[in-house]
Amino acid sequence: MSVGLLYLIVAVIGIVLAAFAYYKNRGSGVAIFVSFTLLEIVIMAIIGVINGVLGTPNAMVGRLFMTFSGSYGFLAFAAICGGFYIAGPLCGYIIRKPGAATIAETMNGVAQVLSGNPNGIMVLAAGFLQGFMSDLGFAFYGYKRWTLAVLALSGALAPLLQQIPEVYFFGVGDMGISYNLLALIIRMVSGAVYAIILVKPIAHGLAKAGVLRGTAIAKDQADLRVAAQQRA
Amino acid sequence: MKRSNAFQFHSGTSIFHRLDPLSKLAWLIGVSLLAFGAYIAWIQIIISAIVLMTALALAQLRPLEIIRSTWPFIVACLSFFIIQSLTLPGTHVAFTIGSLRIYVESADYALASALRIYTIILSSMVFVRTTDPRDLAIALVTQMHLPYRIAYAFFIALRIVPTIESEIKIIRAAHAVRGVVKSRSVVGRIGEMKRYAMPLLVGSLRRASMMVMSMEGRAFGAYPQRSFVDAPHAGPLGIALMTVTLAAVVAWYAALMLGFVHAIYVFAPA
Repeated sequence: MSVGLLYLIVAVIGIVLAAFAYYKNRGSGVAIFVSFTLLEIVIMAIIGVINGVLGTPNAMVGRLFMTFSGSYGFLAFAAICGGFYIAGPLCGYIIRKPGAATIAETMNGVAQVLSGNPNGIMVLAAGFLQGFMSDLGFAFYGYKRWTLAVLALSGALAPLLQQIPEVYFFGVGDMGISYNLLALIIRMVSGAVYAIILVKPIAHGLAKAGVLRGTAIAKDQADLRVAAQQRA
Repeated sequence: MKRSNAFQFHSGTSIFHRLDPLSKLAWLIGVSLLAFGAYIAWIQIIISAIVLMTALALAQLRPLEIIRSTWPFIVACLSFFIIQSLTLPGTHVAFTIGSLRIYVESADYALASALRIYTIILSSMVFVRTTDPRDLAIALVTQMHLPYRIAYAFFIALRIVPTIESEIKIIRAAHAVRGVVKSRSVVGRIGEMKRYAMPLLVGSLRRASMMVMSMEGRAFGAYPQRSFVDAPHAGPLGIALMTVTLAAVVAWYAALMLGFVHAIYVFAPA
C-alpha cells in the first residue's frame, strides 16, 4: 500500500465520519446552519486570531525543531501540534453551536497567514480542515454532551484531514506508511491531551471573569451556580 | 522600528497601498504556492528576489526597515541553512571545513528551504504593512460575499492583535509590582506564557465585548445586507497583478507536472 492510498483512506474516513454525524443529527432538532450572535462571532474571531498569532512563533520554533531532529523532526513536532488545534475545541465548548470550531480555526489560519507563518498558505486549508473535524467530535453527541471525553475526541479528530496538505507541502510522503501513520497517531494523541488539559480551565476561567456573557457556557455555569446555591 | 510593529498596517502612497486588498491577497497566495513548488535553490533565489523587489519598489519599504523588522526570522533562516547544510547527506562534495564535508545537494536544498521560509514571511509582511484591516473586511464582504458580521468580527480581532504586545508588558509590570520575578529559563518562560494567556484573553474579550455592545447599540446587524460608501474594488492594476500571479502559478505547476523542472535538486554527474 502506498502513502497516497493511506491518505485516500484517511480522507474517506473523514468523509464517512462527517456523513455519520449528519445522519445522526438529522431529525434530532440540531440544525446544521445556526446563526451566531455578534458576540459569539467576535469570541470565535478573538480566540482564533490570538491562537493564530501565537501559533506563528511556535511554527517557527517547530521548523527549527524539525531541522535539529532530522527525519524524526516531523514526528517530534507532531507531539506539540495539539497547541495549534486548541481554538476549535475551545470555541466549540464555549459557544456550543455547529460550525463554531470550524469558523474559529479558519480565522486562526487567516491570522497565521497574515502574521507570517513560515508554512504559508497551507495553514489556511489546514485551519479549515482541523476546525471542521473538531466540530464533528461535538456533532457525534448532538452538541449536547460537554464532557472531557467529548473534548478529547474533538481534539483528537482535528489532525485527521489536516495532515493531508501538510504531508504534501513538507514532502514527508516519501518517508513510508508507518512513519506517516505514526505521525498521525501522535498528532491525534497530542490534540486530545491538549484539549483535555487546556479547554475546560480556560473556558471556565473566562466564564468566571464574566467575558463570556450571553454564550452557552455562561448560561450553563450560571445554572450550576443557582443549583449549588439552592442545595446550600 | 520594533518588530512588533512590522506586521501592522502603515498608511502610505505606494502602488501596493493603492491596490485593493483581494488583489494583494491573491498575490500572497500565489507567492506561497510558487514558493512551495520546489526545493531548488536557484528557483527560490528568483522568487525571493521578486518578492524583495516588490517590497522595495511596489510597497516602498526601506531595506533597513525590512531587516530591522524581520531580523529574528533572518537569524532563524540562517540557522536552518547552516544546520541543514552540515547535517543532510549528499554525494558531491562542494568543499570541506576541516574534516567536515559540505555536499552540493545538501547546501542547495538547505538554501532553498531557508529562502522559501523568508520569502513567505516577507510576502506576509508586505501584505499586512500595505493593507488596512478595515479595507480587507469590506473587500471580504463586497468582493467575496462573506457575511458582513463575520468580516467585521475578524476586523475587530485584527485591530486587537497589535495591542497584544503592549498588553503583555502591562501584565508583566503588574506581576512585577506584586513581586513576581521575570524568568530567563525556558521552563520559566513557558510558565510565564501560562500566567499571561488568561489575563490577555480576558482583556481582549472584554474590549471586544465593549465594541460589540457599542456596535449593536448603533443597530449593527439590523439588516442582512450592508452598503459601504468607500468599498475597495479591483482596478486595472489589481486585475493585472492577479492575472500575472495566476499565470505564474499555473505555468509553474504545469512545468513541474510535465517534468520540465524537477521538484527537488537533481545533480547531473560530470
